[in-house]
Amino acid sequence: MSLPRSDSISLAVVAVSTLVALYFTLTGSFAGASAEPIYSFEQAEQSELFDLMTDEFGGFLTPTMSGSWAMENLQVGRKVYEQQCIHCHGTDGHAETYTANLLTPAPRDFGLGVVKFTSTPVGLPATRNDLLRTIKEGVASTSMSRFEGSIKEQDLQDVADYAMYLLIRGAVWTNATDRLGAGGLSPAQAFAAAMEDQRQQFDLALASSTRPKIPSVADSARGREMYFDNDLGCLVCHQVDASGGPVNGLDLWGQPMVARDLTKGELRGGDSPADVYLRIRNGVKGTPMPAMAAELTPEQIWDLVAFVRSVQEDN
Amino acid sequence: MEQPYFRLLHRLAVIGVVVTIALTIGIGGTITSAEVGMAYPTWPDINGGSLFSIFYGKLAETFGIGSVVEHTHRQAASLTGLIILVLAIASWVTRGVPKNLRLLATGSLVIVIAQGLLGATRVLENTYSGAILHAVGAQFVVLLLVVLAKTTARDWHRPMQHFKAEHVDRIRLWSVVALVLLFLNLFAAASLRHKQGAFEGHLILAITTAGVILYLIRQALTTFREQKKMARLARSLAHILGTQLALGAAAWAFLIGPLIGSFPDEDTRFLAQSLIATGHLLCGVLVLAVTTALWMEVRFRIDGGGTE
Ligand code: HEC
Ligand code: HEC
Repeated sequence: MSLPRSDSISLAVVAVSTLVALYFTLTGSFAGASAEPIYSFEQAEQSELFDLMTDEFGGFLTPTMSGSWAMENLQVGRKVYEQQCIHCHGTDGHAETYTANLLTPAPRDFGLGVVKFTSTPVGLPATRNDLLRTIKEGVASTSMSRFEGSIKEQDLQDVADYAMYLLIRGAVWTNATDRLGAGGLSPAQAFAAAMEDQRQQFDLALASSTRPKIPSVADSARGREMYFDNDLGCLVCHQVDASGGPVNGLDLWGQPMVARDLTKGELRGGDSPADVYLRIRNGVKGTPMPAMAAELTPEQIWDLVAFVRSVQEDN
Repeated sequence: MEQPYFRLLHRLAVIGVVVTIALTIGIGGTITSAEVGMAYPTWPDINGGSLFSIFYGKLAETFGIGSVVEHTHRQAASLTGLIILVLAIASWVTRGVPKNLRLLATGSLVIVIAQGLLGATRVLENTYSGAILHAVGAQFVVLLLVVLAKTTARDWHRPMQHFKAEHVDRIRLWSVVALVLLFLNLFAAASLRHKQGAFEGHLILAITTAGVILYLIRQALTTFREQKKMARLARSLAHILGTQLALGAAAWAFLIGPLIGSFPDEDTRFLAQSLIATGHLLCGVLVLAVTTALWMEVRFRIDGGGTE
């Protein structure tokens, strides 16, 4: 079959426009995803505070951090975040997205400066490595998926930096607006105090974060006794058969709460003994799951860990 | 001449086309429009249930509405798979089915299974390239089902119609070009929807593809108007293409263009945007389905022996 001249020309035109189109498709990125959020504040003081925040932290698209918080790849982290996280966690980390509306549990709002699963004692914020662990392993049986293996190691590191940026920024903002709300401080004073306070908190968190060593012996029978000890209260929330159930009230983010079903594998904060240890020792932040660091010795906590893991394995 | 007509195969293929477009792709498209693709990140099991569980209430309660959309998509997709499985088996047990048809049916089964696994990978690995491939794969399944439906149809074996060789060659060429462009455009559109590709890519390809399809329609309605089937397909295609271009313009205006701020509240905006986007996607599948049917006519039901 031979092509008439007119067809060859049309074909060439089609080919060229296709190539141009594919170039756009393969190299371009979607413009809408990355827009700096616009806020409208009713009080002039809050706008002033927001401007101070922007001076310190840059825009959400142009993040900067200083001092002990300085991180190198925040810009790259933002790019990864736009590709992988933004539709759930939102452009400013407040998780106010379409997707978020349709998910239970809702994606984390980083704006309060708190996440649930940390290696730090109760009252202290998370470390960057805590976030990295969550990002790598995901949160089992929620829509927070496991990103290890699906994105490059360097991207994981960079996006953890950016998530940390959002968390710190959220913590400072929340702390400063609380101070403003309490009255008596100018925005600049509230901001300075919040910065100092949060720098301390995050430094302390880093210093007190532990990755526990698993002991060679732990007694699940002793753990079982503790589980059924009314003073500790495990069974009040997690039930006699450890299958969990609803707990009254809402968590820090306004979500209904369910004490975890400990019999189903795949705990959300991680399944390894060390993870379970940290959950019991530090509690689950923002929820009523209490920290046991003050009540129990590490040995006792390990016994509880052994018990929790034994009910898991029973099933 | 005695013409074989495989009623069961034909019906299965037609039902397959309808189920795949209306349910599997309709719901699948909604997933992306509403951005709930990762509503639960497990496969094949769903926390507290399996693929076949009818527990939408419980699912909505523990995972959110998004997971119900995801779950029904998986169920609809299984139905598509089941229909093609039955079709493939039937093609082997029905006597007298040509070998090519059997191979086509079996090939379709392989493709639809691959497409299912791709969906699973998309969820488990959570990659955008997986999601985009999965979107393109779905339309390939539609193409195969349309081909199956055409070749098993009662009127498929009517006599060839003859036209001038030069005209036949030309329309054959351009109908293939149209199909290739449709798939490339689909890739561009899926990239755009998954926030990976720039809008310009989809726009340029859409215009190019529409141009080629308009040319096909014109040819079918002038040079080939004696071929009644082609003329009929071309007329439907004209309507669908027109609707598709209008929906495309609406999608642009309301999703990324000047009308994005014209909604009274967030809920309305969410609903309207999802509906427009999913409608545009579904109409796009129809364009592909009818163009495929037209290509089948052009490729197999006319030849170049005529003198006009
Ligand atoms: C499909 C939605 C979705 C996507 C995409 C997503 N997340 Fe999440 N994320 C969630 C949900 C839901 C939770 C809350 C889990 C819970 O409450 O147990 C969460 C929680 C988190 C937490 C806090 C966990 C804790 O201890 O409270 C971090 C950190 C996080 N996500 C980071 C990321 C990063 C970084 C990305 C992108 C690489 C990402 N997420 C992508 C849904 C998502
Ligand atoms: C006041 C109610 C309450 C009490 C008392 C309580 N828990 Fe919890 N527990 C919860 C809630 C709620 C969660 C889920 C938090 C979340 O992730 O939203 C939880 C989560 C957990 C987890 C983490 C599971 C995961 O998915 O990572 C473990 C482990 C756990 N509890 C063990 C215990 C043990 C052991 C005790 C007794 C020392 C105990 N809990 C006491 C309410 C409680």
